[in-house]
Amino acid sequence: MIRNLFHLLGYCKPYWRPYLIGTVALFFTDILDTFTPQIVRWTIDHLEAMSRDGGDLAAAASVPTLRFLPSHWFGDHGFMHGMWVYFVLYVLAVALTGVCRYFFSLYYSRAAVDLTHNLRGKFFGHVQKLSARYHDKVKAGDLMTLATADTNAAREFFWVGVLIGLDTLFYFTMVPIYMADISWRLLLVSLCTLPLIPFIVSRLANRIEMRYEDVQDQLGIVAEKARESFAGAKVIKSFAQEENEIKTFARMASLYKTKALSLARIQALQQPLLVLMLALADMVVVIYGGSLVLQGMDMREKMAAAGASSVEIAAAIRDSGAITVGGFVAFFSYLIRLSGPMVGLGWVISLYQRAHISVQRIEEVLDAKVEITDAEKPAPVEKLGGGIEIRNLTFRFYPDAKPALADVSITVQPGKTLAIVGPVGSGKTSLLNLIPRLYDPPAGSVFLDGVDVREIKLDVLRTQIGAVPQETFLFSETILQNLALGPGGDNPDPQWLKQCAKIAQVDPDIVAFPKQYETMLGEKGVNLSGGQKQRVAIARAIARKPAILLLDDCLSAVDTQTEEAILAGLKEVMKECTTLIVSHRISTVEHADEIVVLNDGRVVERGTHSELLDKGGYYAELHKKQQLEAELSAS
Amino acid sequence: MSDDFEDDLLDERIKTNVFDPVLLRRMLKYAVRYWRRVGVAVFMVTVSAGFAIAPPLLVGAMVDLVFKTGISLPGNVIANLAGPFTGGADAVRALPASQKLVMFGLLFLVLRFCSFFVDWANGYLLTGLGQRVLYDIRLELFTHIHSLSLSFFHRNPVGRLVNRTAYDVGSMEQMFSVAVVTLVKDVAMLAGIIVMLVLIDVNLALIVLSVIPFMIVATLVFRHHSRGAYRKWYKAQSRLNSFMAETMSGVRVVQLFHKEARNQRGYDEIGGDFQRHFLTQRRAWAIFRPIATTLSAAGIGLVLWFCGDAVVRGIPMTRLEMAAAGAISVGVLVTYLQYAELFFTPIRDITEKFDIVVGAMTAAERIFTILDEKPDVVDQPGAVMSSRFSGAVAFENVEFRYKPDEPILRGVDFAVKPGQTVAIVGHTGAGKTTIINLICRFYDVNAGRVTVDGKDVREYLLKGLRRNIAVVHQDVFLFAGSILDNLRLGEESITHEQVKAACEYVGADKFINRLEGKYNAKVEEGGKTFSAGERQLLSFARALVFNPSILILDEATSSIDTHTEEMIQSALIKLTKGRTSIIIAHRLSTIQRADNILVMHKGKLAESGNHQQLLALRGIYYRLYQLQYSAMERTPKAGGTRFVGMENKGSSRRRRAVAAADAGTVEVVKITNPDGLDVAE
Repeated sequence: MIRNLFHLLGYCKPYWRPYLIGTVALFFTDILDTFTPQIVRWTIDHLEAMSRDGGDLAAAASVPTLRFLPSHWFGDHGFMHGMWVYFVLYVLAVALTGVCRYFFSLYYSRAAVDLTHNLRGKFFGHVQKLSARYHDKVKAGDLMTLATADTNAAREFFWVGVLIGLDTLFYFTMVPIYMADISWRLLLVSLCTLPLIPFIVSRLANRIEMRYEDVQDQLGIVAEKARESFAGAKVIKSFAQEENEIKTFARMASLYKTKALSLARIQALQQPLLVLMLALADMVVVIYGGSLVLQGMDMREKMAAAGASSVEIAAAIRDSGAITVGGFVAFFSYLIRLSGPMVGLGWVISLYQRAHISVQRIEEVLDAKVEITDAEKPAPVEKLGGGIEIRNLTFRFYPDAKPALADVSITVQPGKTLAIVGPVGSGKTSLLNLIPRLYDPPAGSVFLDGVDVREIKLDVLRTQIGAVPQETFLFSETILQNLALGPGGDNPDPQWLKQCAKIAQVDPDIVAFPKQYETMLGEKGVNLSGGQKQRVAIARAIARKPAILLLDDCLSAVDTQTEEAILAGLKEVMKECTTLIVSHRISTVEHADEIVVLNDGRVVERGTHSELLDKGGYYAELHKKQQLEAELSAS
Repeated sequence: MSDDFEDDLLDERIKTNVFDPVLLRRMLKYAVRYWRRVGVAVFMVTVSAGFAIAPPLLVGAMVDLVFKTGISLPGNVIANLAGPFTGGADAVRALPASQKLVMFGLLFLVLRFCSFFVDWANGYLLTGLGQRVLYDIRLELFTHIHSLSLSFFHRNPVGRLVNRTAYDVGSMEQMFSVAVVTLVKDVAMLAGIIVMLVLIDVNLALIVLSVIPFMIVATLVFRHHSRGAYRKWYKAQSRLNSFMAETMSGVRVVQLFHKEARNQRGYDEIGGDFQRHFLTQRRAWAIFRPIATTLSAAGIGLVLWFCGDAVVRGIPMTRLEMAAAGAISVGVLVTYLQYAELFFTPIRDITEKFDIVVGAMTAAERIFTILDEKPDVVDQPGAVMSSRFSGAVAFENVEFRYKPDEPILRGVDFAVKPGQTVAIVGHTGAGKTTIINLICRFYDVNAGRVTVDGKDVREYLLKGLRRNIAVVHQDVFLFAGSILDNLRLGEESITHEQVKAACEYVGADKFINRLEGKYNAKVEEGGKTFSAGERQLLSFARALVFNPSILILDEATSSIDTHTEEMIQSALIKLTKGRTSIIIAHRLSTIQRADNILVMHKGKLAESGNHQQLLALRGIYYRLYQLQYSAMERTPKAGGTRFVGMENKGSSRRRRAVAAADAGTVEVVKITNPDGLDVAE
């Protein structure tokens, strides 16, 4: 636990400056705050001594205010018997605390928010770099939970947790000093219940945590039931099973309620129990402290009768271990001031536990190795020429998995076009993904211009390949910003971007929007149709003047006429680069220099359009079928 | 944006008016049901507030009584309370000091124990109330969602609905168990303190309480500033979250376009905004907090000043003189002092509960949005419960559209006789599935009518209608649970034997018996552990177990091995025997066996008749058949040939009027040309 705590606190190191300023301010706050009951103590001692002596100010001469301030302020002729002095002192002390409070409050939140901002930033940066294989396994939603809920838990600890932790530490060192000053015996006796508190807190915390987990598990079950039930809504409706579903759900929700109540039963105990612990101290203070006061009063009477001065009396009372009424009341005040931190301690512990788990989870992701990185000694390639060679490539997503691609060998000369067709799941997309190293091919299987793709710097590779993935993904930015992602850099030429949009046949659609190229996409803006999105994605890819263009079934959502127009426009672009194009439509692929048919990860047919038609295999059949379809739809 | 979770993040918008009274009233209505519990809670909370304000009184009384610093109201109250046990108030005063001390010690103990039990019970009681309300809302929400029509499920991703039922309801619970109650307690405490102060001494009370208006002004100013800052912070947070969510779900594109560095800059910018607004909000708090403490200190200072002066003035006086001069005892000063210290706590509490209330209100708004959704398809007044159908189904000039300008069915007419098997064929988007949806009344027709046993489906109660129709969907949905659970769903009245018999009948028993635990074997959701064929057989068994009058089946398109294919075909024959069956057919064998084939084309019934008749027509069916034939040639290893629907929605100008001739097996269906398009080629 201690090691873990130090590990967690290690995160604070770079932010030592604001933490230090905050801690100093906190220290002074606590000093001033623990001082204020002293003012009360003086006031009461002052009054009590006077009232005992029938209003003689001299009786209170031992009180510090009377010793250090002109006594005529407090006499019968002073303004309101000088009691305003206590007002001024008290407000001044607290106002000073306020100034310190402002500083620690601000510096702690600044440190914590900077810390979490950077932690989250590191997490975010790392997640972006993790390879597709990692993202296949981990849901984006889970990563988001880490970036939101878990970083928030960390922030709470680095802010409130650290603050209250130190605050408690300061209080527990300062308050007992004052209490001992009043009476060390009373302190010892009243704090006898104190050791019980950490014991009870930890016992209770354990049980609460167990039940809490139980409740969370049940909530998971309820959520899962709801999810499944909503997902299967059609079946439930079909069989008119709503009532039974509701019954089952009610049972689970009711169990949740029961568990939550069982948690509540002990959770509701926590706070009152702590207060009760302090109450035991209360009782001790009343009885023992009260008797110490009585003892002091007794002494005073005797010594006053013997003619001792009030200062002498005060000293004698102090020496005998007796206390004054002011001391008694102040002692109560201190006891209350300890109860806050005591309860706070429990809170700090739970904040710490939560942060510990959260940070651990975040670290797990941070520790995940970025699988795809630059080779140790990258090849000195700065410009891709467009030549692609795939040699006996066998690729598996996971070591034991069935190969997604088996023994594939393909060569594409620079500037040529290769088309890939084949049934769903035949490995077409996997093949395309290997070229920009979204997944890593085995060494010695994929070569660009004769250099193993794994030797080429990612920077070179990914800025010179233009890809249009199967699932179009545009960012919630303006259309122009989305297009600018293609060429990269800070200020791509907007004219060129618009030119590309024209080639991709999306310019007329964009110009039709009120804000044209400045139109925001996504939630806060316009939602493009599937076809429009695909065309923007095409424009984005060609805008970078790629050496290699990868088109993965990217015309599926546009109609035949638009497809023809796009292909006509792309023809010029495709002359300049090497193109790999995946499609289900014969019309898209028929003009390719070479067409390969994949099935189950293997190349089963290859050749030009006419060669493949002659072969009478899958491709020929697909052709026939699509012709029939065209005929039918034209009918 | 692929994940439902993100959709929810974007959905999170802070309300402009946090304390919308309509929303608040609606929320509180849920607690009204438990008015007795609420009453007890409020009472207990008040008692607890009473316990919380008692100690200052006790300490003051003790100072006066034990240390004999004067006679005062607190002292008198205690003396009178303890009087009956010791023989009168004066006897209490006359007790030896040490006995008085013990008395006070015990009083403290009793008080603290009482307040311990009250607080504990109260905490439990309130959580209980919160949990009950939560349960009610959750169940209402769940029930309501299930009462909504299919279109609702198409509009709302499952993740969003789950978040509403599971998590949003949870944040609403806080409103009941934490916020409302703390408010009651805080108000009760404040009121109690004021009453006590005034009772003891009106003038002094007024002086001490003069701090309150300043406090209120400070709080209002703070609230005004912090709310603006809070809202900005909240917005910045949503923006940051959606930015991150987008990057994470589009990480491939990010990598493909090497956008990492730019994103990191984006993070610094948006995250920096978030940081700044967070700090602004904290700064407002950092300023308010010291001001509030200083103000409360001023209250304490005023006690020291004015009460101190009053004490000094009263020193030589007798009790009566003191009262006349407005003088007080030291004990009263102590009481006042402790009240002034207590005063700030509830005020701070109220400010701190703000977050919870905002969260609860936002959640409530989202939940109520769903609760306000009306189902499209509801039971009509006078609808009857059907017992069993003989199974005649007819469409009479049915028009239907999901969206106003996209007609799906355009004047469809056909009739199915009891016990017949009808196959529906056509392209994707021709309207096949819609026909099924209308028979089950998942949607209501826009024009015309759908009848079962000669009666409009709207004249039956939904439950009875659907209970008598079994639908086997293309993609079989299996729930997590046992095989038994999956086959009888929630219907406990169906016995194990019935389930077993059904499985044996369709031939599913063979693979079930091989499973560990047989009918109690665990099924994963989606049934990933089963092959496509096995899932199909399970869905057949499920349909059979419910013994429907009408069977509706959307044949699976996935290819299965020859053996399973044969099993499914033989199961299908058994399943359709003796009951009206309407099948969206993808397999040639199914079509060939059908009594009648309905060829859907672009929302119309284009042709109908049996296989031979339709082939002879050389129309749409003929071409579809050719397509299927080529598919069969391609995958000769698959025993059951597939009849593949096409993804093509090309326009067709030709409509056909078909009169299927064989009236012996097929109802004569006349399809004239409803929208007057050219009939001739």
